[in-house]
Amino acid sequence: MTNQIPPFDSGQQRLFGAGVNLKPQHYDEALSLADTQAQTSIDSDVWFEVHTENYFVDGGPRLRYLQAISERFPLSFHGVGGSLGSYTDKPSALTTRHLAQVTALVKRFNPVLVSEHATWSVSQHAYFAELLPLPRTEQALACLCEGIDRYQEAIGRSILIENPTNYLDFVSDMDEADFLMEALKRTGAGLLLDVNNLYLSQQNTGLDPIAYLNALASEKVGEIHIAGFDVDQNYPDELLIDSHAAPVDEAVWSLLETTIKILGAKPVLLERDDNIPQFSELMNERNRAQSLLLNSTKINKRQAVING
Amino acid sequence: MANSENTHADYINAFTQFMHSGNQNDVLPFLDGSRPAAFLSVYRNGYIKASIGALQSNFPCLPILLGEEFFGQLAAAYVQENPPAAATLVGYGFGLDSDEYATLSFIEYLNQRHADIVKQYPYLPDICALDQAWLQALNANGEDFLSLEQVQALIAQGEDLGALPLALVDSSRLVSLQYDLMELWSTLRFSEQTPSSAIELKLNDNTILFWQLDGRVQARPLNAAEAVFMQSLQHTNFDQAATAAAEIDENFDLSSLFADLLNAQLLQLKAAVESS
Repeated sequence: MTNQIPPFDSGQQRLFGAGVNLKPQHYDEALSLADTQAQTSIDSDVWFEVHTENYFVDGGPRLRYLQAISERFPLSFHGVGGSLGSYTDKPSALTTRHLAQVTALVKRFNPVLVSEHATWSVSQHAYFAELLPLPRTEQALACLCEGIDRYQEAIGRSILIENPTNYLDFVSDMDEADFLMEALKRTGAGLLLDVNNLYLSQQNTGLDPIAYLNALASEKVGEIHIAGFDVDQNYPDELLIDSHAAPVDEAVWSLLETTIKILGAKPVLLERDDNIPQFSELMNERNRAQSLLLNSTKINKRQAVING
Repeated sequence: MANSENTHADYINAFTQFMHSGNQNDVLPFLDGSRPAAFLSVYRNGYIKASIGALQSNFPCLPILLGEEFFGQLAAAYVQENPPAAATLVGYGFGLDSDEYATLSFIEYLNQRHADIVKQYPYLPDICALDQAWLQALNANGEDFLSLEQVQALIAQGEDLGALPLALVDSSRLVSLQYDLMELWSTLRFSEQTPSSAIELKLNDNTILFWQLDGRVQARPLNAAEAVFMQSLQHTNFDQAATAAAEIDENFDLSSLFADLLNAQLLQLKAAVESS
C-alpha cells in the first residue's frame, strides 16, 4: 500500500443513490434533468459515470459537456484501459501515456469516485480493448497490486476495482472473493461490485454468489454496477455474455436485492453501452434501483428504532 | 499455474499470442475445469468487435460507401495488422508515431495494402482524410484562438503584428484532396445517405481547411494561394508564408486574409501557448 494515499473507506463516501453511465446522445437530457429534477425521493441523488478513456481529447464539445455535467451532478470516472493486471517493472510508453491522461482528467474534474478493473488489456504495444481475465495466483495478485498502486500514486487517491465476468476457469490458487479482498488489503483500494458480472460468473462457471457476497467486507464496497447481458448464439445453454446491450435481467435485479441485504445500501450504477435506448427508459431502470436503495434505508432505520 | 514453472508473464505472453492469432494452444495449459476452450473466443471477438466499431465511428463515411460487410472485412484486417497502440479507441485508425512505436493510419493501410481497392475506388483515401480531419478538429482544443480584443490590446501597447509569432489554432486541419468531393463527403457524413447514382468525380487538386469554432467544426475550401499560405505557416512564420503565397498569386492580399482568419478564430499566438 502506498503510504501517502488514504485507503478507501465507504463510511467517508460522498455519493449516494442510483446513477446512470452517461452517453453523448443523452448529454442535453441529462443536463435538463438538473433544471427539472423534482424534489421527490425517487428523483434525488442522481449521479453519472463516464468511461474515462472516452474523454482523452484535448477539447471540443465532449469536454465542455462533461464540465457542465460535473458542475451539476456527482460524477464518477470508470476506466477500462488501465490494464492493472499486466503491470511490468518497465511500463511501456503506452501505459505511461495512458496514466498521464487519466491523471490530467482526474485533476481537472475531481470526480467523486475513480474505478478500474481487476483485469488486463495491454501487452507490449497493443491495447486489446477487452477486459481480459487474470488467473487468481499469487503472482497475478502481486502484479495487480503493483498496477493498483501505480494508478493510485499517479492520481493521488484511492480507487475502486471491479470484479470480472468469468467465462472459463483458469488454474488458480484462491477463489475470487479472497483474491480481490487481499488486493484491497494490500493496496487500500475499494471494491466496485458488478452484480451482473457476479450473476454471469455464477451462470457460466458455477461461482456461488452468496458465499462470494458473504466473503466481502461491506466497508470496502464503494459502488455497485448493474447491467444487461446477452445469450451467446452458439452456446445458448452454456454462455452468457456481459454485453451491456439490454435492460437489466430480473435475475440480476433479484441478486441486487440480495446484495443490498448482505452489504447494505451502496451507490448503484446502471450501465448501458450498446443498443442505447431513450434517456427516459434508462432513467426508469435507474429509478427502480433507487427505490431498492430507499426501501433498504427505510428498513434499516426501522430496524435501528426497534433495536433501540 | 498448471505448470509450476509458468510465471504470470508467461500467462500474459500466451494470452497475448492468442489475442493476436486466435490460436488457443498456448493458453490451454492455463485453463482449469471442464469449460470448452472455444469460449476463449469471447475475449478475442469482443476486442475485434470493439476495434472495428471504433474504426466505423472514426471513418463513418466508409461503411456507407463500401457497405458494412466489406468495410468490416477491411477493418478486421487492419485491426489484425495494427492493433490499437493507445489504451483508448478515441482516434484509433489515425496512426501513431511516437518515439517508441509507430502504426499505420487506416489511410496509409488502404494505400499500401489494398492498392487494388484504392484503384477501384480512387477517392477512398480522400474520404478517409476528410473523416479524420473533421473528427480531429472536433476533439482538439478550441479555446486557444487570438480574439479581436486581444489583438486590439496588442496594437494598443505598440506591438507590431507582423512580428508576432502567429500560427493557426491547434484545431486546424488542412486536407489536400485529389478530387472535388466535399459535396459528396458532406452528404455521406451528415445525411448518412448512399449516393443515389454512380459516383462521378472530377480530378482536381484542392485543399480544405477544418477548424473548431464555438464547439462546431467549420470547413473552408481554400484557393491555391491560401492553401500555400496555410501549409507554409505550419513550419514558417507569417511573412514567409505570405511570400510563398504571393509567388502563386501576385494579387494575394495578406491583410484581407488576416482579417478573415482573425474573425474565424483561426489564429493563435504561438509563444503564449508555449508559455502557458
